[in-house]
Amino acid sequence: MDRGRKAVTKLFLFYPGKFFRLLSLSKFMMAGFLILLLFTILAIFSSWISSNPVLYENWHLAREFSQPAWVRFFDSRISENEVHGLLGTDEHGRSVLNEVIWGMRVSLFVGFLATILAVGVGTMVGLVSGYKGGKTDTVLWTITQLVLTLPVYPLLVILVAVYGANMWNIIVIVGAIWWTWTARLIRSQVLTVKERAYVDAARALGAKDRDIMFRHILPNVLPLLFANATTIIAFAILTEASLAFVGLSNPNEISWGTMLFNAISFGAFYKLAWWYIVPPGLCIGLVVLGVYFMGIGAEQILARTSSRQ
Amino acid sequence: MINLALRDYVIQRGIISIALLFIVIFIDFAIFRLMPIDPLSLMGASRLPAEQIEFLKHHYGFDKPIIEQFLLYVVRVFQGDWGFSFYSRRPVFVEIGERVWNTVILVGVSQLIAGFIGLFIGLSIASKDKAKSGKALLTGSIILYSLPVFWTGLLFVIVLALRVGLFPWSGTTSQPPPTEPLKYLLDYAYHLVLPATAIVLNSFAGAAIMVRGSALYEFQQDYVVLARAKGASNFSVLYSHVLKNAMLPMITYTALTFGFILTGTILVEIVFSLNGLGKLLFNAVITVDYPVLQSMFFVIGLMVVSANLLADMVYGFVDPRIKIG
Repeated sequence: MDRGRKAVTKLFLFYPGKFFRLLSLSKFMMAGFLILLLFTILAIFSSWISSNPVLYENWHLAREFSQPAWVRFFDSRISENEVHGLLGTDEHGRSVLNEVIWGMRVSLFVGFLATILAVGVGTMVGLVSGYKGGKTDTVLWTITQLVLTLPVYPLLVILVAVYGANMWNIIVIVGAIWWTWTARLIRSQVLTVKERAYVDAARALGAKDRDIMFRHILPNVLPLLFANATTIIAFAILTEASLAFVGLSNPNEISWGTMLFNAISFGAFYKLAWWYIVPPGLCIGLVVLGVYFMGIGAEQILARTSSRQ
Repeated sequence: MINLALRDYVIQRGIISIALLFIVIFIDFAIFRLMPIDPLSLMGASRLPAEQIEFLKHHYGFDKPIIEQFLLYVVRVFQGDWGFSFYSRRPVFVEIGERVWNTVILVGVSQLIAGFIGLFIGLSIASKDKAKSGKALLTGSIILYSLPVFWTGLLFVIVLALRVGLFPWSGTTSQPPPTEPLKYLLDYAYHLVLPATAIVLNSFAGAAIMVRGSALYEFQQDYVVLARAKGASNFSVLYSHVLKNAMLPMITYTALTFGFILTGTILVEIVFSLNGLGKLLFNAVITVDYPVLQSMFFVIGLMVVSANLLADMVYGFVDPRIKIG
């Protein structure tokens, strides 16, 4: 089991070609990876293929709530100036396609950064708590369990409402809530790994606690950490969207959640503007799906590689 | 002996729940005291004459030491004195008390249905785990689980309520509500169908994925092998042996994820303009209504803590192998 996990970590870090062959072991992993890759590339290059929809000079000044252009293939009664672009327009006549691509930046940025924060803090807490034991463990573990039981969403709503709804606040607050999930996992893993013979051997040879934690124990929990991080990315993206959906987002940074908030606030319902509501939600769903698929794929690959050895 | 252990267990869980409740109250208190802004200026009191500000400070206890303020706050929370909404100027306790039952009914109904569907779908996925149909069902469940629940609700509103016109698209009852009790009940249920379905679609998928995991574990246990060796049919192994054991983790799962379930419910309520906590939260965020937000956290905290306590109790009574700690 240990050797399998170490091998995966090594492949990921040093042999990307073999890593991709490993990815192809699981269809779930491949599908999830491709979905996330596509979205990440689109987010990175979004400023080339789209423009910031918040700035007035980028507005296309089409009619508000115009339908997508391809609707005319199905219904010839719709005239040419009632449609605009691939995905129609929103309440200000801005292109929905442009907003979806631009919104990717905020959603993914918040998702990834909050996850890095959460996984970083959670790993540290889990490692120290599991390895040190005793009073340190009691204190850290109690805090972790308490934060884990608290109702996350209303707490987030209060924190963001009080401290201001800008992107960095949201990243820090979301990260500060989700670290407990990593801490719980890492602690339980460390508790089993630290009983292994090689940890005793390292200690007998006089290795420092810090070295044992980071060089001997951490590499063994890395693959599981990866699966955990994927779940937290999904949570973080969904959390950002749910906060933006009640209006807790920076109005100058359009995200998918902000689009849905605008849609319900500006009466996309009455206009039956499905083209304004379907794309952002579908994108959130696809990213979360990709992330879940990667988590399942990681488990499948772990099971296969470890049973082979 | 067993009864004694069970009693200790119940007492231990109860103490933990009370401690959690106090921590929720403490966070509520701390967030609004550690804020960079003075609470009185939040209420728009800064333009008042000096003696009125003094009066308000004394009235709310801001001139007392911080510990005393906290104790006063705890007492007021339990007395139901939750302050006044900045927006409607009505007591927050009344505002929340009017709406909380709509949320409780929506959560209760949708989780009961989702639990049953999830249990059976999860078991059938587990029994056909290697087959194509099992894999397709699993993938379908994961897809349903990834879609944001409020977005599913939005689609329902646009397609089923507004386009097709099968169901009402907003409100808890029709306006004005029917006066006859039976008609009122039917009208209420009719308005509940779409939001409950949106939540069920999301929740049952999560439960099914979880049940599949625990059922796969149970399949490898000795009692299943024994039942199979004795010639029990697939159906009877699944529904008279595995079902009971796969149900146990369901209780823990529902309690642990109750916070998320409530979040989803609140967001769906916003979509359907149901007169529940969601609508209150949405308006409170827009109008920056701090007293309402503060009490909302307490009420939802109370609901989550009680759900956890209830699950612990049920688990303790259902499963004799309870362990403490």
